[in-house]
Amino acid sequence: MDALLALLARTSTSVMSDALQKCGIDGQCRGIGPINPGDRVHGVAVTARISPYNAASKHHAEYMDLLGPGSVPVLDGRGIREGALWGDLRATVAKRVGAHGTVVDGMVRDRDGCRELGYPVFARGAHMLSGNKLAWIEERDVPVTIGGVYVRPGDFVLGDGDGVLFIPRDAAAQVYDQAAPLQEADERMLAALRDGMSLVEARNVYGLKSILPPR
Amino acid sequence: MLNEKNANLLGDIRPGTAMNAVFKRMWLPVMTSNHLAPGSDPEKIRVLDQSYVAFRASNGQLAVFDEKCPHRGCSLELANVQDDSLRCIFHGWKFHVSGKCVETPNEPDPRFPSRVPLKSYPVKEAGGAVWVYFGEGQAPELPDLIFNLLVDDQLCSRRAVCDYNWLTGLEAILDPSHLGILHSSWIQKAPDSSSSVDLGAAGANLAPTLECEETDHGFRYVTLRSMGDGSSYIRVSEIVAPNGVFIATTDPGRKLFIMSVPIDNYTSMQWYFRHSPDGPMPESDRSWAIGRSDLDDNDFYQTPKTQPRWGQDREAMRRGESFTGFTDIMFEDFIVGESQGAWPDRTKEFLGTADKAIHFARQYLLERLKSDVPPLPKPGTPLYHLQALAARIPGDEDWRRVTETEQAARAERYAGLRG
Repeated sequence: MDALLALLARTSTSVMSDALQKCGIDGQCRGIGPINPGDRVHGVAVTARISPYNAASKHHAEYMDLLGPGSVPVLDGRGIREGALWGDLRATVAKRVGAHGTVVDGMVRDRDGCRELGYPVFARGAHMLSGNKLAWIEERDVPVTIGGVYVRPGDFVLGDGDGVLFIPRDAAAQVYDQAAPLQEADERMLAALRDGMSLVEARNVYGLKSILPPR
Repeated sequence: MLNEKNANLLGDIRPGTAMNAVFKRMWLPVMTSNHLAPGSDPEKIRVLDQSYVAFRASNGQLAVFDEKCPHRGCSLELANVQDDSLRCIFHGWKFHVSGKCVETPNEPDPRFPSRVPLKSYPVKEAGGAVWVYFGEGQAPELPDLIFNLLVDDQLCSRRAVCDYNWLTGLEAILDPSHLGILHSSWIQKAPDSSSSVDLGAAGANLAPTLECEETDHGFRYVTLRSMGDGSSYIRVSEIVAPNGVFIATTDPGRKLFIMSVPIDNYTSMQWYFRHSPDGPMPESDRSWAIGRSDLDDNDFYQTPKTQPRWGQDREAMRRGESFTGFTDIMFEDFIVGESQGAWPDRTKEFLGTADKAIHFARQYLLERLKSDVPPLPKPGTPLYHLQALAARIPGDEDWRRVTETEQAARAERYAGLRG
């Protein structure tokens, strides 16, 4: 789905969210946002479920081996707030192998370090407490839940200032067909409004009524 | 609406502007082919806010020069026609129809004439019109629009001069919803056709859905009207960028291409290339094409301009016989256009849903004018198979598929015309 990835690289979560709604897909994560202003991520989810240490736990290094160019580490920490599940050390490695950014259902730390690195991170928040005991890999490359959204490995991710959403891989074509005209209309309407057109007139000539998701 | 900057960018065609440069990259029709007889008086023509002189030598050849004599600027409109040449009345410099200065009687050096920088422009005659390339350098191929490939008895090409900016002329053709309103009286009188083309349907549904899409030749727009019986009536217009449009007419045999060519910022030529690609045009079609307009093919819109309120018949309006008080469908378009003003204030418009094609055209032109890609057909794009389409199709049929199928069939049928 190169076309979808190309679209994700330039579109916004608000446009993609409208497209998801038109397809009847619930892909918008609740409670997860960028830890630094301007963070933007798009790519393909590489998932892992996080849990406190037990005998079956895997080491993070095993998970990090799955990451490659264009991937987005997606860590399901079930929203725990007692310690950070991601930080600038892992971010440095992820960036080196070409990951586009990380999404965590839980807390992260080293906000400043990630910013300096230029590595976008989306999480429930940032806090300095170590996740040493909490953040072990229970299972990698499995379906997870992020901000209430069911995510399969290989699903598409988009995150920006408004939050994070996921596009199921098997609905990629359908979502793309809805999103591409929405994105174009969005760009054109913005240009027309910047050029001085009124909101009513712009709605008239771009027929937004027919392309927005039904109320 | 357009802001002032964009309105100027689109409307201003004076030398040095972006639109002027676009028009100077293409062949422009300037007069009907039948207008100048061999050996007739030279005629001043104005195009793109500049003046030229055209004359046809007794050998039938036609030339277009800058209006001013290259010597001291005397108008060559005043020149004598001699020996397939124009001789300036000021000092007798003589300019041959081939574009060469051949005599300068007030200069002793015999090599002098060959050094005179006469500006002569490439001229071609096709489609019933005289086409001129006003640009610099090598002229491109004349566009292979189908009427340019037909012979005289398949053509009825006519020109009107309207007192409005060229964009007004273009936008009149991109405004499908006015058909059932401005031309309502005319539509009611039009012969009811059982063919696939149905202007009555256009009138019956005043608020069609409009869709536009970019193409290699410019763009196309379609009006879709649900007909209540499950079918749709579609009218597809093909825009050959930046200023020509194939539009559907009442009869499938009657083909029409309308083109708006700038004379200056406040005046434009409206070209009506009516053509019959499959055989000679019947006399009835020719008289239908002329309608109630003036008979001069090179200027068929004269009478209304001389009269108050363009000669509107208010009495006929009161009697309910005519919605507009005008008798000719083309005059109706010209008159509403002129009434908008020669340079209308587009910052004060309020566009509605019916104006999508107009807005699309403006955005298309603006985007191209601000980029490196001119608003012209992509080089090498064939144009000969383009035609408008009007058809009733099943409601679940995709208009794009119908359009493409028709176009492919025409590409095959008319391939032989290209020679």
